Amino acid sequence: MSNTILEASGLVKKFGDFVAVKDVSFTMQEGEVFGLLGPNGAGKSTTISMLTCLYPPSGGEMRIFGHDVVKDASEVKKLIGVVPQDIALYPTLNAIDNLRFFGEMYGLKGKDLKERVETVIAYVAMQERAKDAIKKYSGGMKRRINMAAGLVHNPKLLFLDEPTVGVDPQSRNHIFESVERLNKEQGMAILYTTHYMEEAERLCTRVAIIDRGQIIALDTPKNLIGMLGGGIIHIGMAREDEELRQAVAGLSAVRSAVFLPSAETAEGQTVRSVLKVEARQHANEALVQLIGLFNQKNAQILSLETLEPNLETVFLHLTGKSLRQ
Amino acid sequence: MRTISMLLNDLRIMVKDPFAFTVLLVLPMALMGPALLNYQSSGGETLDATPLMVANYDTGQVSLDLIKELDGNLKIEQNISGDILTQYNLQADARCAQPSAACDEAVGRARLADQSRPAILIIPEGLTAAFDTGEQTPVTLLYDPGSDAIKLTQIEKVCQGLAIKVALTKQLESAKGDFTDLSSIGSPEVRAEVANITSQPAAKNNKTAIHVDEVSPSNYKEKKDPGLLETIVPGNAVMFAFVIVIFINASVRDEKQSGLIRRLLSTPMGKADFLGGKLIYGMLTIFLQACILFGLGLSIGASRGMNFQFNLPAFLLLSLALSASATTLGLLFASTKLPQSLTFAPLFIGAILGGCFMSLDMLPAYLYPLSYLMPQRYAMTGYQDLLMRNAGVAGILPEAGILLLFAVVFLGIAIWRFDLTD
Repeated sequence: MSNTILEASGLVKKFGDFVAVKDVSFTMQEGEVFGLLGPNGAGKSTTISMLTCLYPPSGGEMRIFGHDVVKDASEVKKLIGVVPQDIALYPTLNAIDNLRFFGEMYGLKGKDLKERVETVIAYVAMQERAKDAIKKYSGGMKRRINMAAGLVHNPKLLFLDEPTVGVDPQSRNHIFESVERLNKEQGMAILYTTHYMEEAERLCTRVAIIDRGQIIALDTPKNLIGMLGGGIIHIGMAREDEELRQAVAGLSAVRSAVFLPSAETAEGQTVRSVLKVEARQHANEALVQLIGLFNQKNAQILSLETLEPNLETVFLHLTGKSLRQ
Repeated sequence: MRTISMLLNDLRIMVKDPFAFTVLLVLPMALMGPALLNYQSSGGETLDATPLMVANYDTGQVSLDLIKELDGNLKIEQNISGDILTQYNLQADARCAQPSAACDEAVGRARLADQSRPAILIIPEGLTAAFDTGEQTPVTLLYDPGSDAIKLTQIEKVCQGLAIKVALTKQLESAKGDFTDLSSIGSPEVRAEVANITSQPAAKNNKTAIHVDEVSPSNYKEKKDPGLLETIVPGNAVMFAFVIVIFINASVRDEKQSGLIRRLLSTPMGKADFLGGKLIYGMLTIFLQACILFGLGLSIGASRGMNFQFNLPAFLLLSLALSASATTLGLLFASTKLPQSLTFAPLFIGAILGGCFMSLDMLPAYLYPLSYLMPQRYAMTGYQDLLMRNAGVAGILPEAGILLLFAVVFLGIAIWRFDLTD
């Protein structure tokens, strides 16, 4: 049975009247890659900031490896590594100088420091450019060194806050591979925040979906996606027809059917209704039944959209909005 | 340990930043160097450094006494030989076959012509003989009317005064002989008394009837206008010390905006490590800057014939106090949300009100009291005391103490105000 290494219970963070995080609770197990998935401004970075001793919480409790994060911050800081969303590096210094500096901040020195710096530079595959000033790097290269700075003291728990923002596909892929290797080869636990559902699906053992400072769903990606059954179908209609909605909901291949709030057409004139249909197992089967029903009722379909079951769809299903909004 | 890492990191950044290097070292040197190199004898230079060429055709005692007196007040140049003759194409001149008055006169006239000397004194042959016979014989002060009027007046007055002194001394000595001769017409008792007086050797401590003791008050500080060296070297060093306010403020702001401070706060580094590293970095930078500027300034000054006195321990103490006050002011600014442009205020306002550009006496009366609030004032006063009055450690302790007091106040406010998570 795996051990719990992180416990967050009822976390609250207020900045004046604004509540950035409301009652967030979750745990992380040893060796787990835990994802915090949510749109920009959802409260992911604030949650990480509290867990990494930057902000004290306005309420709630946090324990990492059994240490209280607020009362025993100095011990916690030695055990965790942080890769922030910003490129937190000195641009005029080269990668080696930057990594040496961060290593010294964690108390490394002498031969140990030199070896760790060489190891993490190799880990992010930046040996050839290690002596160049950071300001000469591409965005992706900076991200890789940013990540190396979080690994230089070989932490037991790594916080990765949106590590792929603004990076080229090659560096993005390299970061994915690094995360997978760190987790599989070294057993490092990783808390990964992102607003890209593909990343969460690929990397995370469990995902907490966060919106407006609250966790609205927490499970494995498979179980979260499973919430949607066979997928979601959006049917554009000229008007809300309650009789028709009830008929749709009664189809054997359909789990539920609800009208979404009114939306304007692309032309911005015709107001129509969107019927959101949740397929029970397979979207194709539901589609066949839906088209048959609409023909039978002589009802007009203005638009038809099928949404593939994934975390993005889950978020849409739970919040009614896109992750990238 | 982390404080040292912070310090080394900041030093590494500064070394790799050409702008910082330029503003902290090159700019003050560029402002100071040319002014000192173009220095012509004036200002703080003392009179005995003023050169006067002398061509002495007389071989008697009067001219020698006159030159000896002049030598105590001016820098006498005589018996010219070697490279200087070559410089004026006089090496083959018959007058300069060996050191002579004629050669000195030729060199003196050449130097007057190229304006490298303000005047030449020509003492004619037979001055002593003429003096002995009571005839008046003029000496000639040949001068360049275009040279420094103050210097010329000084030379002229010194020559006139010393000529009178020498003449009076000689006349008094001869009057003594005359007095002895006159006594022969007196009674035997008078002659015996005169003989007795004149035969006695002069008393060793022959004091005048009225002696004036020169005593100055114990807390008196000699009022002396600073010359070029005493103005420009400390002025640049003190003014540019406060450039560190801009650098520290900009550095902390950059680190905040780039997320570096947030990142550092997730490491075991604390606020004390951060502030300590910045403090030592700033102090070390300013201390080295002051040492380099003074070293360079005084070297150039010495090579240009400027006179100064210097107490090294006092200089080091004062520079340390200056660097502490400037650096802590930088930390104070960095602890606020004031616009970056305001960090130029301590540099320029402090330099003006602190006397870095001009003497504090030139400040308007309504601004003068404000100068007491400027650390620059105390640093300037201390450095000028070092250079002009040869002040030692005890002499600059009040200024160093006030600067350190500023530093303590600034640091206290900075620690209180500093919020790294801001």
